[in-house]
Amino acid sequence: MSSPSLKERLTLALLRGLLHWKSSPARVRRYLSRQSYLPGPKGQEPKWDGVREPGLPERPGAGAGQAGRGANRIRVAAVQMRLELAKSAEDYAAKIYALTRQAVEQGAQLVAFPEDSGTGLLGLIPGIEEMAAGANLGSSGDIGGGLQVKDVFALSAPFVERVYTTTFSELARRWGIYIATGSAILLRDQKAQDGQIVNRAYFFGPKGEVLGTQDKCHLFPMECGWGLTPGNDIKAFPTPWGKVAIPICMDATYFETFRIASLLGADIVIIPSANPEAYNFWRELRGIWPRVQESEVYGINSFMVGEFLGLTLTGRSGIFAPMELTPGGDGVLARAQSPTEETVVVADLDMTALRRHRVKSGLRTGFNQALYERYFSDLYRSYLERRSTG
Amino acid sequence: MAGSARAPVRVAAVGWQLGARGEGEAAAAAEVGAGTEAGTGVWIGAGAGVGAEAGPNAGAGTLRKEIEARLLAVKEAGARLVVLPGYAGSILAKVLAAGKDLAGTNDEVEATGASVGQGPTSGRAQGQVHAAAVEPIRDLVVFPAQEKAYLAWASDWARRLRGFLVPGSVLVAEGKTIYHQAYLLSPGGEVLGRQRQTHLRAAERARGLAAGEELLVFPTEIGSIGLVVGGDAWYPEVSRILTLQGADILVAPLTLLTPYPKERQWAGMWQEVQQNQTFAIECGLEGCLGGLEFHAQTAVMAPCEMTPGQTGYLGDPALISGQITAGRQTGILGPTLICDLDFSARQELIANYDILSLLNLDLYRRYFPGLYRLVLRNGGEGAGHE
Repeated sequence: MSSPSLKERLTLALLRGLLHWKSSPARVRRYLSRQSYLPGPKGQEPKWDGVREPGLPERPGAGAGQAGRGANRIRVAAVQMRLELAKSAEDYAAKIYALTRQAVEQGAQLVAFPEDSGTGLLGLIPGIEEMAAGANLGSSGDIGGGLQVKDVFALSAPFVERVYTTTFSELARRWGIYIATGSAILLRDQKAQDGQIVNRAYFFGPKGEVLGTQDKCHLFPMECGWGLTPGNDIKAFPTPWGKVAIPICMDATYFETFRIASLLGADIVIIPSANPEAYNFWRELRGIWPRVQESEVYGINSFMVGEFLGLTLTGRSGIFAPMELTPGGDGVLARAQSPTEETVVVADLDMTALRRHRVKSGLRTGFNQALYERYFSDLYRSYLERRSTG
Repeated sequence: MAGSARAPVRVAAVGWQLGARGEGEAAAAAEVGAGTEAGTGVWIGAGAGVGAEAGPNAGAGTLRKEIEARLLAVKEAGARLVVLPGYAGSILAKVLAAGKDLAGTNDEVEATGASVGQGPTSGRAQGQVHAAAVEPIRDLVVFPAQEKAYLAWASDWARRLRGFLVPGSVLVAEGKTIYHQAYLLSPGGEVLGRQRQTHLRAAERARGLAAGEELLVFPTEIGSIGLVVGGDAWYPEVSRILTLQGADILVAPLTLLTPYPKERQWAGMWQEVQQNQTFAIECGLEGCLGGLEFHAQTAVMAPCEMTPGQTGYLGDPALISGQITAGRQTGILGPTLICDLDFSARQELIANYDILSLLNLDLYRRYFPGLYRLVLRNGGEGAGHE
């Protein structure tokens, strides 16, 4: 690979300078400081959307963000968001503000955004729309002109991260809520300068503080083609209501993810998703729903929807619980009606009921340690080795 | 995962329907082969078939006759793997023992607390049966002599079928210990192996059950077969371990108590098939047994992409049962489902979307199996839970 010419280096430096200017956190803060943070706009009724959990009030009460329901009950929201390129940091902040506001107006204390919620910030790159017009991210990692998806993400990541984290941190602080940001493609380690990119979720607390991050551990095949690096840890973050884990999308295909999260003490597992396929009830059922049942946790699934760079994203966001804890006995507390429209769904999670259910079901009393000692020490490794040697 | 195309493998799940609660209720309950010897009593809440012929051994004869007729039908249909429901082994063992001296010894009976004499109905007013018989499990426990008769029957039928046979599951007493287990028999009638239920909740342990400590995969010419017994269907560790050991077909003889939400089965083998990209045959017991009501859909499953409507289900039990026999009319046998497992299609699917190639070894190595140990020591609470 030949080293870049002077012209190329100069162009790159100018582009970085421009992105730095466009991604200034001050722009985000300035925009958000001008917005209203009352429970609802003056003279306007809060807007309901999606499917409401039976029993929730017709109108959410004021004081969203206050833990008025006590430490045993929390209202959570799953944001179903349309993926669109944001032309500026202000545009992006406006979109996230509007969606968060919808959730807060419904009384949400924990708001969960979908996977790729930061990808719209690629719009900060000049000419990206033209570049992307004929691109098809689903077919390869090449987006034309010899440019790889990985290059674009790696270049934009530091700037995306500035806008992304500032936006969510500000909104969490101003409304005094917890926000699981969904995810963005970011540099694994900015200091390492190794160009490795990850699919990363942030979790913000009510003071706007970063409670932690989570990297996607099981990559979608397409992401492998883009050159992403998988994470290799699952974390459970404490909140007043219980621990929260935030694995990402494909992670929910593997029982191991939820088993680890629940064994680490997670009571709520949030799955931000972006499914690049036409909606099908059964295929979607392979994700969070069975994981919630087998792990006895609450689950929040937020989907990205829309057409983006040749991909069609669909999914019905929802809030899930063990079947025994749901009014219909179907494991669903609330669910978006449409798999293609932007919406926010909310439900109340009763943490006491969850803990009581675990004791009653006795699931964990059935674990067979001798069996796990026998197989789990080596079986995964030997399986993967066997496959790699044909 | 390259390989040559394989012919589809035809499989059959022969569901049983023992008659619904309320259908004649306890008044119509028939004791099938109700002997006076200890441990030989089996009783079945009767549907029309059994009830109509209620009397000493008449029900047993009917049940056996109909099961065997159904097995002949699936043989005619070309099934190479035949599966019977959960607890079918226990019921068959009792039926086969009816009128014969195959009871457990007094010590065996005492050790397991199994029913003596005429089954759970004995000594109770018939109207109290459903309310009182809360521990049917004890009445399904079979003793070594009964198990031997059952295996001899199964071996004979595997030979007649010229196919592999999983003759349901059976509760077997070994001394003071009870195991819930299932067998796989070869077309030659040989017992290829036995799989015990490996995950038992506290309530099951309290009834005297003990867990198996190994999960076996049986390589055969129709594919590698793993057996998922009882509640193991709801512990994803089981299907994963079987799959990683090479299982292509998971077989689950199933019992589920009512009330029955269909989602219960989605949370079991259906989703195991999806996350492991295997086939599965789930054969359910339906109807009333021991005062409790069971219901489960008999199903053959494959990854969504391979099935009509992407449902994950191959075929429609109701439609296919009509092609086989009029078993439903008897009230004893439920739907029989016959399906073809297309291994070439599965291979093609995995070539395009290979879930298990993306397993995260580093992640699992960090936590398994130590994290389970920590949580079990912590009384089931999550690690670090306050």
